[in-house]
Amino acid sequence: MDEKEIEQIKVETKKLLEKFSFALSKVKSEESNVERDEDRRKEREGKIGNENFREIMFENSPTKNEEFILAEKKKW
Amino acid sequence: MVKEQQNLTTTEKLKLIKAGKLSAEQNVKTFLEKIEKDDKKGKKINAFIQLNPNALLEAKEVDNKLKKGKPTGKLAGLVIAIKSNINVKGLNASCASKTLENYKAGYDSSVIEKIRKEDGIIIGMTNMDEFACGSSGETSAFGITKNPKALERIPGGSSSGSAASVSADFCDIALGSDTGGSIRNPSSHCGVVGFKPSYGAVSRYGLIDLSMSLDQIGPIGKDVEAVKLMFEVIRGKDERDATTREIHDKPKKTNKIIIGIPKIGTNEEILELVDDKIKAVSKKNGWKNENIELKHIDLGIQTYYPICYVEFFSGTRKFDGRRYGKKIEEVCGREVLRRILGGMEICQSEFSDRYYKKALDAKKIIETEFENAFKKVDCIIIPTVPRLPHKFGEKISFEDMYNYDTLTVLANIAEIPAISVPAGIVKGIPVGLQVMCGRGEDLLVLDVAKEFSQ
Repeated sequence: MDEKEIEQIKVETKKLLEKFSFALSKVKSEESNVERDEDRRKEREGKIGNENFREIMFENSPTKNEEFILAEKKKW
Repeated sequence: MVKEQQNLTTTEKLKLIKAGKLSAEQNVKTFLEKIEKDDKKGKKINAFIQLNPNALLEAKEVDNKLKKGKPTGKLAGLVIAIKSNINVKGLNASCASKTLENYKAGYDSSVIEKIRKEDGIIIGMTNMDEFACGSSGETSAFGITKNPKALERIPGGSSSGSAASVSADFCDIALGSDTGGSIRNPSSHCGVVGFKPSYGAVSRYGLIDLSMSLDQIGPIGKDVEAVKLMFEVIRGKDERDATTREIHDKPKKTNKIIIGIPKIGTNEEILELVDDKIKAVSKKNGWKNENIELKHIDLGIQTYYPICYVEFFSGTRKFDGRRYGKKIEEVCGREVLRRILGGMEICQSEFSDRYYKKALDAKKIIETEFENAFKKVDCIIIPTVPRLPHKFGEKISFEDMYNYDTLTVLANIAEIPAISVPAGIVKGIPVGLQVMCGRGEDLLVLDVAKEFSQ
């Protein structure tokens, strides 16, 4: 698609959204957030983290200082 | 053999396979022959993008299980086609787009795991509107899909290939996804049964989303029994999709049904056909009909599209050309680009209140309106699509294209189950009617629909 076609789609879409917005402006807003009493998931114990994670990550890291891993995108 | 198999219902065929009177291998072979004859050649339906090279091997494994007397699953030897936005390990999940043309799925979706567990044979990945953005089957990057029941007309969409593959006898059952009618719309045009379950009844894990708060995976089959069989397999809570939940197991008895009929604007011939069907089935079963008023149903399209645009825009940001395939904006078609640009516009903070929040408010109002209606009636019946499918090549504006979804988006907005069953023929083209029930009443929808398909 060339720039002209893309621009045409943008204009058409904007016009359509305006129409939608006008139609929806007649809707009386109500409170959208509803507290549901059902369908709640039961709380369970979270997963136990890997205690050695920090140590392993530091070992893997090619460049680091005492407190930080120095990472660059696509380099590690 | 082909003719004999075609005349069987899916449940009759399943019984024959389980009894050893028809092998799973033969079942697959018959469909492959039909696909070879009419999908890319002959009638050129173009329902499939890719066939599963292991289908026959998988069928032989099911036959071996049966021969050894081992227990087999609920779908033993049945042939299943899958929409190309559902991940099937090793096959292409292209979404019928150049963006993901060569993207091979690395894992099975939850629904696919369940189908495999029940010994269903996946025959291939079906054609669809690009990224499920469309209602006609014309926006695929891999060519249009034809309507097997009216070859010169569109099959509907976006699950165009899934509905066409059932209609053309290329498979026993197909899976589609439905965000605003994408299962029910093509099912109506192709003369088959298509079911969109309640939101959350079926796991979406592994579905490449169009609009995550509206999407739902569902089955398409030749009859309600086939669709129910597949729904029983794929439904249920899934740890990998936090929106899933169990639905009611015991449907209401169907001997005292009250059908709600709202006033809607649609093609007169279609309306007449559906009304006659409702009257005939109600009379036969002793059901009551009641006219009901749904004040905001004419706001369905205006509510649906802003939400869909925003969620699609958000969901497609991962297709930036780095991790998956190509950058979406550089290779996609007009409709996909329109939704991305529209979503981008709405996402700008100054427009959020005007479009998105308003649409969410309207969604809540429509949802409540349906909830209240289901306190008075058991189900609501309307036509599936308000018009007949257009001919290929016919000029149609994108706004008119959106209006195909007028009657189907309502169930997605209200998060309720809805099914399209064939109601009859108008001008030689199949027309479907839509049964909707309250959220979680999926089995009631199927039971009521069964009476309409007999």
